[in-house]
Amino acid sequence: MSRYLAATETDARPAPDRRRTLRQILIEDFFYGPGAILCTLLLCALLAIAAWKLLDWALLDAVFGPTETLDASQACRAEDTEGACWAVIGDKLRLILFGLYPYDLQWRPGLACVLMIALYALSVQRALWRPALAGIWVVFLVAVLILMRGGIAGLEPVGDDQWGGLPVTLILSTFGLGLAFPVAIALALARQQRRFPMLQAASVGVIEFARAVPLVVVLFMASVMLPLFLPADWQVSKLLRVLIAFTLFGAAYLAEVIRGGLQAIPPGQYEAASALSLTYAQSMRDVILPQALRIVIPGIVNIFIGFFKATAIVVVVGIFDLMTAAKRAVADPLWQGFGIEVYLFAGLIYFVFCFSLSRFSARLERDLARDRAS
Amino acid sequence: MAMAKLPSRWRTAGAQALVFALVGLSLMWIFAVTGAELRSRGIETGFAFLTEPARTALANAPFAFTAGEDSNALALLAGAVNTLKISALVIVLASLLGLGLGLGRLSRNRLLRGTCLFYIEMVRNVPVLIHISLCYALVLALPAPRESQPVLGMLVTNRGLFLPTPTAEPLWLISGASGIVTCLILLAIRRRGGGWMAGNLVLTLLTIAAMALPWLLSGRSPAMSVPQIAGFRVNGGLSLSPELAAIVVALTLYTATFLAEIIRGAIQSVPRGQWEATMALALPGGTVRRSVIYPQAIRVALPAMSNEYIGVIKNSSLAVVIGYQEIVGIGNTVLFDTGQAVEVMAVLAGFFIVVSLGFSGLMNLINARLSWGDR
Repeated sequence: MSRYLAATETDARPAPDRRRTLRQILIEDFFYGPGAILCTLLLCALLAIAAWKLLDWALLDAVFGPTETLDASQACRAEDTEGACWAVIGDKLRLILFGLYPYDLQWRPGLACVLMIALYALSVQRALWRPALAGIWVVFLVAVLILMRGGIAGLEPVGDDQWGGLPVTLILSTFGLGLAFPVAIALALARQQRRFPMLQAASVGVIEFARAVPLVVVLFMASVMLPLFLPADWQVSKLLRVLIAFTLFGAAYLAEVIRGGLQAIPPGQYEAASALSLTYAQSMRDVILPQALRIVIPGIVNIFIGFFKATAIVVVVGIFDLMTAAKRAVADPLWQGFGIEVYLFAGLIYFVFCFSLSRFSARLERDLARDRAS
Repeated sequence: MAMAKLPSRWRTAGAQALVFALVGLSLMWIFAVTGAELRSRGIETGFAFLTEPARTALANAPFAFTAGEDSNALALLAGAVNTLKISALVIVLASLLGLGLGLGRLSRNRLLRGTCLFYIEMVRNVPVLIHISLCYALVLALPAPRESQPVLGMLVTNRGLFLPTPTAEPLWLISGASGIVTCLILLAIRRRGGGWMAGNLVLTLLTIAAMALPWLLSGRSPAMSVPQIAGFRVNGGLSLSPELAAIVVALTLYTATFLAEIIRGAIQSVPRGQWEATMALALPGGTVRRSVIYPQAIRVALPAMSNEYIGVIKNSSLAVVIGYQEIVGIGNTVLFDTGQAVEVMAVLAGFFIVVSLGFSGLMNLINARLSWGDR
């Protein structure tokens, strides 16, 4: 037997050096063939020109504020300025961020925004993914409502027709998602079960209707039709009507994501639950939903990103969100024609939120895949 | 406990009847309230308003439309045509851009890969409405027709986009026919295999040559209608209004990023063994991608892409924000003219449901034709 065994011990060798020199990187990744050389050089030239033009417009030639002789908007309109007019952002910052909220009280929407951002930061911590998270959401959202509405704790009441800007965008997406979540679970369960065909048909109808019709039409329905459906003496504010539309619309999309999670649970889990003679409610609450929701969290985050971007559409029914605030800033005769700067600024705010959420979602998907594999 | 003794079939039926009764009662309540509300406002319910003449003129009607003569139904039809026009343009353009970006994301060239990723991340994390408003502001900031310089016969101005088009000329028919016949003959030779076969480049060049031949023989230059600046206006050529140009460009740039990620994911989903198998067979790169990788990737990508395409049709309704009159914009006008809120909303919802379902049915058909069946 000993013939097959090595007689001498082999020394352990270090792992091969995978680092490449700069020259190797350049040749292997940028200049590996005639086509690649052409492509790289062409792209370099194009990017350099674009970067230079952008720098010129956005910084070198830009107007940031009033000069010695001219006030800010005159400086932007002067004959020799070709660049961006960032002065409009400086002048309209409070309008874009907080809309028409009483100027002296704008610390309240500011604090509400901070609270909602903190809520997101808490919700993305995996250590906090437990039922108590729902409680945290309720506490934060009630605090946000109190800050915005006032009327108690010595805060001056402010009607929701005066709310505006970033807090409205955050409120629509956060409250919309928070309220849509239970509705979505109900819709998904109703669609998934087989015992009540009528309920199932109703759920399919709601989901498919909301997914086939554009949000603009749903919002018009909420603002034009909902008042007709309710008795004349019921006063439902415009913001609340839009929030209801948002909730139902979002619930339909969310329900499909959750249904995907329900379908991914192996049938053995359902069978094990009924073998333990758990009731339907118990087996869903304690066995199926905790697993299903965990799987679909990346999907839920993606829905939320879509939701967050979709709130901009409320501009068509006249709700004062970030997008409407940007439009209103441009509508000021003093600043007419500087839409590009204002929309870029508003776009940047949306980008910061959506990009960080999508990074989080991508990392989460990777982590969950790794956990499942191990 | 008495409930538990009933057979479960009866309990199920009872529960269903309860749900049905609740839904029915709330619907009846809504109808009663709505009816009272409408009567108090003096609005007749029903779809009679569709045949009444429209009160407001249309800004971008695709056909001749006179307010006060033509019906509301015709106005809504004009809107539907505009919606489909935007959607068709965006679907074609975004697919091309998305394919380019998706392949660019997979390129070995790191600069190209990085540029595509940067573009995708910058564009898709911003609401499409911001893109539309931004594009519209950009179009309005372009030079006026008098101050703009034509590029390849195209005019890009703040009055819209003007493209040269072929004029109605019988010779174009002959030219087109000769091109198609040449192309088909070359393809037939290629399909038969063996002997001489035209490569893609040769095929394209020969087809163009065949199209040019009738013009050369007649000794005339191809008849084109090139946009001409005449004072404040532009005559001739095909014109896209600033609103249409803005919505098409914005939706194309936005949708392409999602299509690119779908295409990239689909190509990456083809198992590595497939690439290795082609290497083992020593197939050339172009053949590998054309006949091994892409056919598998397209089957993965198609369902997700058809969702995006339906999204385009729905997003085209956002043109209402910059005042382009597609079906939602015109529906709004009709609603304010007649006050028929419920009926107009029903028409709009019905249109989108029919178009969405029709489109997804079409894509399912294509999917079924493409699929290999269960294996």
